[in-house]
Amino acid sequence: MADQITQQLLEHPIFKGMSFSAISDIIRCASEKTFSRSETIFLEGENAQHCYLILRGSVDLSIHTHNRGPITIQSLHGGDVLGWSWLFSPFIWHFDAIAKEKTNTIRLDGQSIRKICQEDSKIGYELMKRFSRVMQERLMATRLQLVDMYGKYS
Amino acid sequence: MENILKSEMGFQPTQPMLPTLFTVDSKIQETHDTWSLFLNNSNGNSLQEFSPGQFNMLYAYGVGEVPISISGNCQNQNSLVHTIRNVGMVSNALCGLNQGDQVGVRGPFGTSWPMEKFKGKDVIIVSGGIGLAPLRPAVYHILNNRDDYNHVALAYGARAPEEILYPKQIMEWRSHLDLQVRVTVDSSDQKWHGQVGVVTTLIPRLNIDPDNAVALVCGPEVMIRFGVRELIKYGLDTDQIWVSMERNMKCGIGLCGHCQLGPDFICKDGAVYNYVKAERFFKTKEL
Repeated sequence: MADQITQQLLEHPIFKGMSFSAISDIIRCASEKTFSRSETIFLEGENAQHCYLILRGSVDLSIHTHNRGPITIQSLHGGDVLGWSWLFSPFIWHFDAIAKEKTNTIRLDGQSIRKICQEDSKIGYELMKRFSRVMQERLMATRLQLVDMYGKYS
Repeated sequence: MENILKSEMGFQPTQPMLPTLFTVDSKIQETHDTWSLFLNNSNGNSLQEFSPGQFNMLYAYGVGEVPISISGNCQNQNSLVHTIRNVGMVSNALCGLNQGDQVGVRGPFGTSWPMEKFKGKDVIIVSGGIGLAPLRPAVYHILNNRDDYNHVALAYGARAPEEILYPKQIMEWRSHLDLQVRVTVDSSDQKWHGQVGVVTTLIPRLNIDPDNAVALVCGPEVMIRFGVRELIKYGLDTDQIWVSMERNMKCGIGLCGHCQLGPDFICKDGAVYNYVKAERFFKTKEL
């Protein structure tokens, strides 16, 4: 099982190109977690204790609105990273995450990962660069959504 | 050779300033503000030939004339199809036309998607909003000549599920086992079970060989800019990408200057450009 998780971590885009020795500590914080269709992964306001690396399946990130109910703001798929609220205080989820179908993930323990990053600045910097890249891509996508590019005046 | 020339330059009208009278045969409401008009030649003559990506000037009598891409099938000689978004006075008048009403048509004008050049290639079609309309003839062309093309993928983005253009057609295209069709919307409520996110997020998930691919991109200019960036990230070179530009065309033959963009007249030199040539337009603000 541990070998399988190691392989899956090494193949996931977030760790792609990193050596086994570089992620050996991270492997110890990783476990497999499968969600069934429509299962809640986390809800807004809950403690953000884990990071999820999606292997297969898809997840909707949504925000609940009073008048319109849940609004889906992004769909994530295999190869994506789900969640970074575990990285930043106060470690609270800002959105709801629901599995759209059966979804296989690798679940990383947030507190342990933060501890590894704190103690080993080299791995910490590498991980921060990789997570920042994901955040940058999501920010770009969000900005495009804000532009309302399909509106009448775009 | 003649075919290749036609493919790059598109068909050109013999009397470009003279509108031909067409009659609305039928109309379909595509979204809350977009309609497709199916037009027949009022004098019973055969329909004009056109190439995918070309446009006509449609004249709403007494109101004015606007450029509208031809969105039908080049091989369908039954009617001329235009999909029109109601965004101004003339488009409002055109969208208000009903069966039996008449409209003036000049064209076809402009360059076209060079489908001959794309033979043997993987084809990526990236479109957003009403940008699917000028690309639909290219999809028809590929389906009509499926053996000429390798893997084909369509990535389409809309603002919301109810604003997806040609939804029935997209579902039909999805039924083709040799056509990858990916659709996303910018945001949605829980009634939509498809992908949510901007259209650029679809590109990395396509199953296409970037070394042997070409891309056709049409939509709002912001979408084109970011779509091209993502395609380059995916592995395409700029000369593998074609885009369709939109400006305020008036005469359609490069005389009046309304659609001038730098040294070019979009109505004549475009609207379809290879990105190597179009790149400078995107890099110059307020052009």
